[in-house]
Amino acid sequence: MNIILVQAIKEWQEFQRDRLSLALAFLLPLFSLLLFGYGIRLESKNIPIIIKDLDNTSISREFVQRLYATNIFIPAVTADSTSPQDAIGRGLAKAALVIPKNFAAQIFRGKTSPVQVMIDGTDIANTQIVYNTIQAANLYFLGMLQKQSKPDVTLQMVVPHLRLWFNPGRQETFFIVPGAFGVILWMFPALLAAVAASREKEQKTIIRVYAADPNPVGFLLGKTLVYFTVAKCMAIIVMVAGALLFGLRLAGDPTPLLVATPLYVLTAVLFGIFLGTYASSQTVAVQATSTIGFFPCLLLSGFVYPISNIPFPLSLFSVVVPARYFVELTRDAFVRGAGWPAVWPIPLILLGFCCVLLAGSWFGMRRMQVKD
Amino acid sequence: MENVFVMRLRELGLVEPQPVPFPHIRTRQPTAGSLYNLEGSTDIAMQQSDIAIKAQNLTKNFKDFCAVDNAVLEIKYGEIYGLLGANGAGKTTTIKMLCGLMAPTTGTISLAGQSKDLRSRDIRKRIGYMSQKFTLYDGLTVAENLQFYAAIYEIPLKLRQQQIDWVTQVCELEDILKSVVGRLPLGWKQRIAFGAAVMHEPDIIFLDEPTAGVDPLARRQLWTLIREFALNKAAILVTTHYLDEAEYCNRLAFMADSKIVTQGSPREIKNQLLGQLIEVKASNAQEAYLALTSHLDHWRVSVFGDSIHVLIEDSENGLESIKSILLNSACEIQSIRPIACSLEDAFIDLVQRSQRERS
Repeated sequence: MNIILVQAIKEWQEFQRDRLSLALAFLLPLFSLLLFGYGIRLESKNIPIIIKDLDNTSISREFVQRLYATNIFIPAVTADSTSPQDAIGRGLAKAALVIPKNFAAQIFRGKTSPVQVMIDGTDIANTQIVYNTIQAANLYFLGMLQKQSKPDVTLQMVVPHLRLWFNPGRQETFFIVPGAFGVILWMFPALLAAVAASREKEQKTIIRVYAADPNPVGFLLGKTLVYFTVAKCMAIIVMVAGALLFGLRLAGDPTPLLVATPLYVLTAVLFGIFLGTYASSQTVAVQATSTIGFFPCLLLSGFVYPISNIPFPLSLFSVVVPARYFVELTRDAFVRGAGWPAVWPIPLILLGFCCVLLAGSWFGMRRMQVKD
Repeated sequence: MENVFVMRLRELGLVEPQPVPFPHIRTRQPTAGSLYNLEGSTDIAMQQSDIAIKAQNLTKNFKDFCAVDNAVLEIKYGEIYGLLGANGAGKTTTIKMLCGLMAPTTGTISLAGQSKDLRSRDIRKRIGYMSQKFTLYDGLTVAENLQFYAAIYEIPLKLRQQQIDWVTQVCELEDILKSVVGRLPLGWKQRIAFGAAVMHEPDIIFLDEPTAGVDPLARRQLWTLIREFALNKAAILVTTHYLDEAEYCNRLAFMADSKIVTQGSPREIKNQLLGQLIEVKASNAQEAYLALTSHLDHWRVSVFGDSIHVLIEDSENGLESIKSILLNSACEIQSIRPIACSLEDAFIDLVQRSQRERS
């Protein structure tokens, strides 16, 4: 116990003098929160579209209006002479729509009127959105027309479908920000701990520790204690910032969050310590933490892409990504509010991760000797 | 040169530090005779009880090369034992194995009479280790570093400040206690590292090149400290590159090509040099060297500054033959005389001899 405290005091003294560590602990997490909170938008807005209305009748103008009313499109800024192909080719517009000359006349005659649409297919996500939006706007438009001319025919059932896409709402931050907590509180505690554990190796100070103390527990837990404390402060700062900047409020029982957050940052710290004890230098430790820690956390935690979308063999891997569980818990705590009945296994799973990582770190250092 | 340097500094009014008495927080435990003495003879048990470090057939193999080959060592309490050798001869690996930082491939080690459980906390506390590279925490101040090591060696809380004060005084760290270690010059760092290694008054001290890169005055100071510890009956194993420092040691071992090629007191080692050493000063040292090596065995001739040392077996005939070789070549003899062998001569001879034996 004494040795743990000794190590912790030394670690704290080192930490509070190290600018990089301080930045990792307090500045970068906030920066990341802003980046994730304001930067990630899964919905597409303001897609530039170029519309050539060759018909220029009240009907065709209404059709164009319907497109802009989706809030998805904005008119592309081009010269009048620019052809639609050119505008897409030069990246000025993501889509082009040409309304033929006798568009209104065809409709009044009750015949189909083809509207030419070109979509920039290089951006898969946008392609889908543009495609769906135009389809939806078209249906809506047709529905309106039919309502006006033949009131007995309705296509109202299409409308609810459209709303999903038309949703311009602020709800998205509620999806992103609790997820961002999971990523930030994984990444930075792990990085800090990995840097601290491998620094001893890089600067060879570990040799003196080996020479003095045959037991790795003091070394491991001393460091863990310091970064666990730092990470808890980090969690408070990030969550308060999330509440202030993005209007996030706790939904329902706060106790699952209060229990799981310390466990989650402890898992992250132990993960960093674990990698740090096996890495030979700080650079290796940082790279390992980013690759093994960050990418799975970003891609396989359900933060951006739903876990159900991950294809089969890879989806198994997401089981060992602790962020996956914590993201589920934060979303529940901040959005869904179902409380313990929904999330009770999560703290237990996190505790399991802690034990495994601690045992792994201990195993790597158990001999307290220089490796051959 | 070094003496001149030190004298000059003294003239300039630099006061050399006076040794500060040892606080003696620990009574040296009389070590129990080896538990593994199967002969049962009390005589041997008595002898072994003052042996601090003992290594037998110590071998370390890394993947594809042998770093230490069958080293045999015995170091008594109160003895300064110097381990000398070229870079890569296996000194650091030997020291790491002896203090438990590295597991030997084969061989047995006994520390302070114990040969089992060398990594126990009890043994750790009786060992001081100063590693080759500077290994204190760069981000911490001198005082914080000393506090840390005092705590990790479990010096009782009551005595901690006293020991830190003592180290501060002995190693003259008063003015820099609050400075961050990383920004200090190397000479200071080595003193702090030494202080941190001996603060708990260990019985056995391992010093891996404590004076590398330290100025002559600081080196003297460090050696004064080391001798102080030896007088207090600590066993000290020290590695060094500086052969003049080897004269401080009670006993020496030379390592070459992973083997200990010789052991003994400095005088014994010098006496091992077979034959007589002749110092030759010629107008053209380069020319003289080439002439001598073309007539004599290559290993007998070595360059020392502006002079050449030649090892000959028979001093009467040898001197004449050297003269005749040099007269036949294009250079002029300035002086030629038999000289006493220095450790450096002995070292070079031994290393070369071991290389000859290998090839």
